[in-house]
Amino acid sequence: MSLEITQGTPVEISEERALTDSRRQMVLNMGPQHPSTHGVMRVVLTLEGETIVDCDPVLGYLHRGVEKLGETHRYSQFVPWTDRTDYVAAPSNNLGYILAVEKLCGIEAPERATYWRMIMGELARLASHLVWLGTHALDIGALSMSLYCFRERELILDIFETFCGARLTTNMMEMGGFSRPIPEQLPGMVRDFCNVFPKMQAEYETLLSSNPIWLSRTRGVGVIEPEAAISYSLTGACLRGSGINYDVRKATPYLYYDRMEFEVPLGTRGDVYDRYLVRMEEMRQSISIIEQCMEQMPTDGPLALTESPYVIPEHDNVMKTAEDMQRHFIWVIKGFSPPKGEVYQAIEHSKGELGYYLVSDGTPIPYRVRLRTPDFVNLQSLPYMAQGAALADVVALIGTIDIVLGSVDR
Amino acid sequence: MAEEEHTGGPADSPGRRIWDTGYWGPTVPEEHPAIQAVREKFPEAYVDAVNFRDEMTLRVERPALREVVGYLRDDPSLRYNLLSDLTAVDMLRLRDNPRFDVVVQLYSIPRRQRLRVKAGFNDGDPVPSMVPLFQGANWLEREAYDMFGIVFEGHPDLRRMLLPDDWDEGHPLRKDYPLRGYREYVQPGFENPAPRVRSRFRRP
Amino acid sequence: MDANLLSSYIFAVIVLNVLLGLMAYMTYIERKVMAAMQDRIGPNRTGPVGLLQPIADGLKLLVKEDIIPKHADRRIFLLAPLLSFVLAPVAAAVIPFGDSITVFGHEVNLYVADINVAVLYFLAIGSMGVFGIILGGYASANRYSLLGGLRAAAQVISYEIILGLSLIGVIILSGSLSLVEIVNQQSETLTIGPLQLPNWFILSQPLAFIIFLIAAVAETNRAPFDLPEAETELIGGFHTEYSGFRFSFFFLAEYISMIVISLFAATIFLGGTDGPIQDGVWWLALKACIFLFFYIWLRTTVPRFRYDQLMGLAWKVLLPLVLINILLTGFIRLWGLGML
Repeated sequence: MSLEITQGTPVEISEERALTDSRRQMVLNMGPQHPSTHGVMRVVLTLEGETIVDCDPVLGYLHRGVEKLGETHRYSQFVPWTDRTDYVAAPSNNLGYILAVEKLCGIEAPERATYWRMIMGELARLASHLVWLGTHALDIGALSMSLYCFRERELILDIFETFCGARLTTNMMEMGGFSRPIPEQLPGMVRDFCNVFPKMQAEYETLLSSNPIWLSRTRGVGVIEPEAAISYSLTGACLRGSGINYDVRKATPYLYYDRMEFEVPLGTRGDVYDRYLVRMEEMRQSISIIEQCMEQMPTDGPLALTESPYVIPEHDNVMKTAEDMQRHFIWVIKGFSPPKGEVYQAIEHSKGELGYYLVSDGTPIPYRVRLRTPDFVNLQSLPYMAQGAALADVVALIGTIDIVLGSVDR
Repeated sequence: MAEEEHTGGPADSPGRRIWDTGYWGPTVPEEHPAIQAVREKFPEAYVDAVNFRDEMTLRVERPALREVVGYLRDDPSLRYNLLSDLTAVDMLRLRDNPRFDVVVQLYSIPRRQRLRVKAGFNDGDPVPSMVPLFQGANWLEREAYDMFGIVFEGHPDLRRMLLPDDWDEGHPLRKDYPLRGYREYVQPGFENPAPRVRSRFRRP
Repeated sequence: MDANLLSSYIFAVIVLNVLLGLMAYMTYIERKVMAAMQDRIGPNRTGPVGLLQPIADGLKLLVKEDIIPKHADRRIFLLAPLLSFVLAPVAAAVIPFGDSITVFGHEVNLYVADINVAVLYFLAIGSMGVFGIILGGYASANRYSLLGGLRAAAQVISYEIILGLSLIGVIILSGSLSLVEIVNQQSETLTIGPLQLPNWFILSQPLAFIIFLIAAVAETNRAPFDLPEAETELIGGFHTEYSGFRFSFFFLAEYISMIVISLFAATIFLGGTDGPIQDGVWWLALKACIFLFFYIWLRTTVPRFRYDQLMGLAWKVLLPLVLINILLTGFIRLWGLGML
């Protein structure tokens, strides 16, 4: 068996040319320890002066083998691992995975739980966008933005904490709904946040949107044409910044996104500034979605499926009835066995299309867990965007792709 | 759609489902336009089409994978123009031959439909690369090479993606690769390698 | 020894120590003001309201390990921070802190030296200071440092010209390069109708003042012109490889040159020690504080320029403007208002 690796055809370079090139060019290792690579990513840059000739991202410094781990844990045990992929928007990851497992099992959560799932997903999107905005602006040099953004993110994390007890790695979603009641103060907290946040966001926009330095740093930088964006499989704001209307929430709605009224913001030029505008508008739409959820949500009703072998029984009944105690025992000790098959569930994560591809062989342990993380795929466009840009633009480009290395390396 | 009462019960009960599946096209393979088109166009490459949870999976022969996907991308009535995902599955424990499946998730932005295309192959068989069709397949294929050792034919730069360049212990997502690797590693501060514990969660 | 010279020496020592003390508290004030602007508290653990923070920082830097990279050009690496640090306060020698006062029967001038080319001296010392940065960047044998040093060199060449040319208008009007003379001219009062205005050069040279302000920010490598150290692109720029007290020399030099250039700006454009009531050094301090606050304010508010945009701003925008300003001032001086 031979494993021949196909290489690109080598380009003939004359000795004289090679000499001058090597004298003119400098290889700069950006990372793995660098303040603006958002974690441990390495970008090997070939510079000519400060202009980038070649750019090669080197990944894997945070690779933990999440997919392999998924093949050794039972379905419900894998949920905490999804927290640790994209850790700035953990509820979204939980949501995508749980939706995939529920689809595999053929169950779905009651209405009230679904609304809460949407609210938490949108709040996670806001939290993720706030981290993006803060770090992106910080990379470009706007020092204060990061602190303002983290101030508002704190409110969201407080909501998460009230809801599930954890702030960052939430492990929030459960099979078939929520097994614990919603805390009483939670709706009030969400409403307060929805009232406060638009004012705060207006502040950010006064600081950045028409700032001439911000404009000169972002306008016309990192342009991706629509055709290239599709070819690079970009999703999320990177794709919509180039003017292509693909938002999983609108295109192939999951949960109750088809009941919501919201706009999908689109850019026109496909540069860093357009992606910034798209994400800013997305935050406004998220607030509107949360408000609609709060309005439409039934005040009463079950939070979790009760009579399903795939769902953990209600905590109260476990202590009272023998059947539920047995079911609980089996669910915890043995896990549940979905039917044989394979599903692919895509959700609109804050960074793009987050896909979970599960293959089940009928045992309580998934046969294959595949995480299609949006930022890993989006990051491929970095060499394309960085071609001919300045060294200072690379940090703006990394910021605009919006990566979290836990999610890129998995 | 919102008029219908949502039951919240198991999906087999009537009512609209959250993971509603019009987005994968008709549930019967014979009615699916993409399946029909591929059967007509590539009769010798078509293997079968499976529907599970309303998701349509098209299985084709390995050598024709690129032609089929290219046709699905370019045909004006199909236009599966976004490569959502490309990965592989090691079917070692489920069947004998072929061992691997390469799984291509396609999405059509204009038609809002998904389609999964699969091709089986054995260890060492070259799989046609998708990079000539989709730039975005580049890293996905590098990752599949890294994790499964699949050689993609026509890939411009097939290197390891997530593991180090000098990783010499094989491809970790293969089913015969032990969870903790082949080698024993001595942890810093210890003289002997940590004892291998049997995983609590053995596959039954 | 000449009594005048002796008093100059003594005064120089006083100025140097005051500058160093001010610099230490400048870091504290910067952190506090930035914290207030960013909805934070700022240093508040060391001493009452964090007042001892600069001392704690200094001690920490003193006891830190001094690391010299293996491939560094050792001598230059050691020399560069000293060069920056020594040259920064030297420029303050020509700044007049007020009229002469009488101490123990001696007449003591409140300036270290009154040289007749004080403005040129100031500019010369200012551009010398960047040598420390360039040499430090070069000697570190680190590519980020090298880029930082290169950026500093290019930046200082562009903005030194702007800074010098923006002062030409003032020099044309005052007819002198001596700062003492310039301050004395500004202490007169202009009477235009019912208005009583001070004869400060900011009123006759507003454009030059704004250009000077921009160039001064670039000259001291502060945000948004902090490209040589741009921490999000070049990690630390020229001081990436410096640690401990050698790093703090660069740090001190930056803050001292900030203070000195603020004093200089206050002297040239805002009348120095001249004030509405009771002229004195406190007016100079107040005016300098306005500039320092402006520095901090800029840092919290605006993003960083890109390298080519920085150069474009200097050569395409500021240079033509400052040349126009010189031309206009020259014409006014030749044929214009008789009172000038």
